Amino acid sequence: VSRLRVLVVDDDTSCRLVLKAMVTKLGDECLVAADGDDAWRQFQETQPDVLITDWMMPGLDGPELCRRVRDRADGGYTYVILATALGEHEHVIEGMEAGADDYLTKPISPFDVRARLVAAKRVTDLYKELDRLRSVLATQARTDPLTGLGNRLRLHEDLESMHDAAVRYGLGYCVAICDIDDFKLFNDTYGHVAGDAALARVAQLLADTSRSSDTAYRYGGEEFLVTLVSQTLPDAVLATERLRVAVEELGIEHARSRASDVLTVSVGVARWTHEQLDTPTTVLERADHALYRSKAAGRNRVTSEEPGHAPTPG
Amino acid sequence: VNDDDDVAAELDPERLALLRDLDDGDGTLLATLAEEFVAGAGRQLESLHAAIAEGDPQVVERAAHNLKGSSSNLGAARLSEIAAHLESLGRARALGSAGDAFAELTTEFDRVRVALAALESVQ
Repeated sequence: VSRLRVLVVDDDTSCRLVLKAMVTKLGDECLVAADGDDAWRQFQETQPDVLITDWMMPGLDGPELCRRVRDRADGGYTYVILATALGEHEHVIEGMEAGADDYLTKPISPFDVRARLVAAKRVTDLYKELDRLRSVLATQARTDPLTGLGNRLRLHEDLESMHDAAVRYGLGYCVAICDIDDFKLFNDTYGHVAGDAALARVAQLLADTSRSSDTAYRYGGEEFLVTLVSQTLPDAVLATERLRVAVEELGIEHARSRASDVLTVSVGVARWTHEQLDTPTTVLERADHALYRSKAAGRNRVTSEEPGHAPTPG
Repeated sequence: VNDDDDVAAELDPERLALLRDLDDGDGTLLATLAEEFVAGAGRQLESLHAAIAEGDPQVVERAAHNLKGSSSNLGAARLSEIAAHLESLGRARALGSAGDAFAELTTEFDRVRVALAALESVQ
């Protein structure tokens, strides 16, 4: 059973000592702060599971501390307990509205602390589990289940941040769209199970063969996209050509392909131009256009968007 | 036995038992608490004294509030009640009778201090 980390705030030393003794007696970890400002500083440093705060104290008061704790942006949740004097009903309500989860009445008894920490454990565990699930789901929502590559959602997010970085630091980037040649005929010949297996093998190869700074995504059915960070167009064409050759060398039989007797890819490469109006979308469009030229020229080749980078021989 | 009765008049025996129970074994918690309480309460009494003389109700409210909490924490219920009364005078910005309440507070604080000292000598 994991221990709770509890931060206790009270401007009176003897009150702090008693509350700390109660918390540590229950086997939980207890940090103490002497005023609201100290509490807020320690809170940010240690991100406690539970905060037990006094109402009136020097520096930040109880409700203001509650509001700050609730405004924190990261996924963590701190269970906030307000310590008030008997009969201070309006304080309790104001504190709960400011974000407290529960309250304790002074003089605080060990029984009350124990009962509150049982609830605190349950609630903070639940938030931790929610946070874990949220992160698992966020990854799942951005992963193609068949190939394990990032999907279009991940691609668009990554492209945006790559584009922003390129604009900010004056770097460039290229994108390469790779399309498996005559994949419909492959499925028709070998069946969809074999088709899925071929997609997974090509995906694995793209991921393994790309440079560590480059990333492969599943773009569509039999289309993959590789982002190449800060490369010139000729360098990107060279890198992509290595990928094309590697796919061919997998030697996956594709008897009805019009490009070869093994599975191959056609590739279109484009580079962001540093022009203000050039967006990730227009770069993708140019790469797509180059891909069509690869297809039209006979497939199993890499074509760049600009004239002067001749299609590689198939 | 007389000592115990004196203590019981100022300090709630149930609260004292509870505090003794919290000790992690070295038997020093109650003595430390008494020491910190007397020092802290002494400071609050000083600022109460000054604030009443200067007619500053906000400081009266704050100092009395602090004293209310720390005395109830130690089981000094009567002291806590007088502090609560002073706190309400400060909140109401009506310090007319604050001097009388303060005199009552210091008398009760002296009794609590004696009771705490007796407690330590008993231990």
